[in-house]
Amino acid sequence: MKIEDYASPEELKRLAAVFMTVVAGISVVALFEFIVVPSLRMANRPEAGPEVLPQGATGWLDPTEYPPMKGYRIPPVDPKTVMTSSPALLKRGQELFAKNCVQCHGPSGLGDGPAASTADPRPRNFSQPQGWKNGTGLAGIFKTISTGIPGSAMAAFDYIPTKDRMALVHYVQSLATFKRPPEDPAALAALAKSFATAGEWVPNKIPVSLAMTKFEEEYVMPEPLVLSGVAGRIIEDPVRAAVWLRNSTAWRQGPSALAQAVAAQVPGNGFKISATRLSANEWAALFAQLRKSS
Amino acid sequence: MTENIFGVVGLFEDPAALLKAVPLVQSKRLGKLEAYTPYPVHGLPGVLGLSRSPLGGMVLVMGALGTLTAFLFQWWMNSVDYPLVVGGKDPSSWQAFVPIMFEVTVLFAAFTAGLGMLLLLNRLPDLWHPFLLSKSCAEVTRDKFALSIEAESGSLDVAAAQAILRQAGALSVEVVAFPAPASKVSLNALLALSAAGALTCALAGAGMYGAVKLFPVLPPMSHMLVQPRLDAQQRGMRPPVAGTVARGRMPYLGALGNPLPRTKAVLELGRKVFSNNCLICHGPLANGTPILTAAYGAKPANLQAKKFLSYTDGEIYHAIMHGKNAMPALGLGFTEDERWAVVHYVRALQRAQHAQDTDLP
Repeated sequence: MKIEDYASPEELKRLAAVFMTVVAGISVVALFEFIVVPSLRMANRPEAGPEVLPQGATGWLDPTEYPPMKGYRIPPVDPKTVMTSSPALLKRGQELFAKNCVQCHGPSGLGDGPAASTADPRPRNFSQPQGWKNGTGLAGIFKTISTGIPGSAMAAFDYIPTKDRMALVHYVQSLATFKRPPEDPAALAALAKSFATAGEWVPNKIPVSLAMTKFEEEYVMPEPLVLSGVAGRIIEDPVRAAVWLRNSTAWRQGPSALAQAVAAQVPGNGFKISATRLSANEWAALFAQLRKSS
Repeated sequence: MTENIFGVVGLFEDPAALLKAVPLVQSKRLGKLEAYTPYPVHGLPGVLGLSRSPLGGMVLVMGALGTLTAFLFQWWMNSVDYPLVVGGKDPSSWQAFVPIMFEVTVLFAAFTAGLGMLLLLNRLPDLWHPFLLSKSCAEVTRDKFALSIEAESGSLDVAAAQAILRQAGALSVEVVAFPAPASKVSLNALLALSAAGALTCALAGAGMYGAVKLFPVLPPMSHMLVQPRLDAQQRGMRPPVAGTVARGRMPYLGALGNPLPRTKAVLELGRKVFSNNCLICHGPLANGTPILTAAYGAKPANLQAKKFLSYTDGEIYHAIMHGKNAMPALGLGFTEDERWAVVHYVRALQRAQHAQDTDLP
């Protein structure tokens, strides 16, 4: 059997023509896709500026790789600028409110933000006079924002600078449209005094990889935990047990505290599950042995 | 003339006549014997001297290969490449793999049986087989049974073959020739076919686009916290079976200590788990600046706040295990080591943002 049995030379020529047309089409598409279009994109790219900040070892924008920054002190806030409401403060307060508060307290402060249903007790409705834990005065709201409400979802926003926190206070007060009791002059004076005396310290910053390296360098591995007698049989992983004993504090209070602490994390702390079956005397002996070694 | 002859075909009334005829025709050794019947006839392969089909063995081997493939596939993905704890079970528990193993076994076996029989053993599709163009073929597709003596190496004694088939009791005997070469496919037909294909694709695409555009079936989700899935599955996390404790996941009853050292491997593990699971809400520096600010609708905790700087390792571990406010309980999705490693990494992040003076290079 030969190819001529199936197609005449003329037809072979036509097939070759079709084949070449297809190849030419693919070549044109490939030319555009891989050469023409990318070079057009490159043509519109702005020239890289002379100033390029160091952004991690890989060169990508890794947000954990910033240059080390020395800490500095923010000078104390002048009470005169923050004790009375002003349009500038309210505007700044509204910005911060949108970033930090609307998620729970809602856009109008009605306590109806999207995350409100997850908080127990429910977030404060600023339009109602009831339930303001620290009162509705400037000092009370400042305290709530600065220290949070323990036992509720209200967090302490101590990381927001004082001036911005006061802007938030004024904005929250502007949302409390009901008739508020008059401000307590003594509390206001104390608040103003605290501004005048304390500046704020912005801590040093180092890249996360450096912090990890520091941790590794500073860490001293403890000796593997080697125990004798009955105690020797309850150790699953001597290294892990030694690390755990050094990192946890609860067991140091006595034999029963040791028994409880070991049982709470067994077997994740390097002890065997059979450790929970030791008698009180055995725990006491073990405690004495451990306290001597550590 | 003889080189154009495919074979001589005799038609028989019933299977019994066919079976009786085979030994007689076989004894003459005129050519290759082949039977064409409307349905499988018992005993015919034996009389014709056909060897046993290897299909059963092929199916067995490929089925076993399917089982093995499915097991290795799932084992590697679930417990090596991306270990994922579901419902508090061990990531490598093989029981969960059984349904997929069964299905892949059946898939491999069925494809081997079907395609192996058709393509490999029977050499189908064979649309230009000479027998298909004979008159006898039309009879066989109704109720007759055909026995053909086919030319071997291009030569066949046609007269002797006709005689022996008549002697064996054939109703009719037909000489079947090779068909004329098939007509060639024209360029126009090829072009018309490709044009029809392109038109079909364009029509289907336009129709699908129009259907999706005009009749949207899924309304877009406005908030991650507002979706029916959360209520159906209890905040989106699948809880373990009530009253059970998964292996290696004992609940804790008192103050906790971190059992992991601060080594490079532990911190890197913590970084990986944090980046994959915590970063999206708490931010790359755990300062509560989320990547999904606009879409998420909750204010994640700033772990650089004083409150969290003074947290013990156990308190951070507890928050991972049981959640806090809008944060779901994530603990069951990770192994114990992963949770403690994240605690170490959060400490590293806190150190990075609250560095001592001696840390500065």
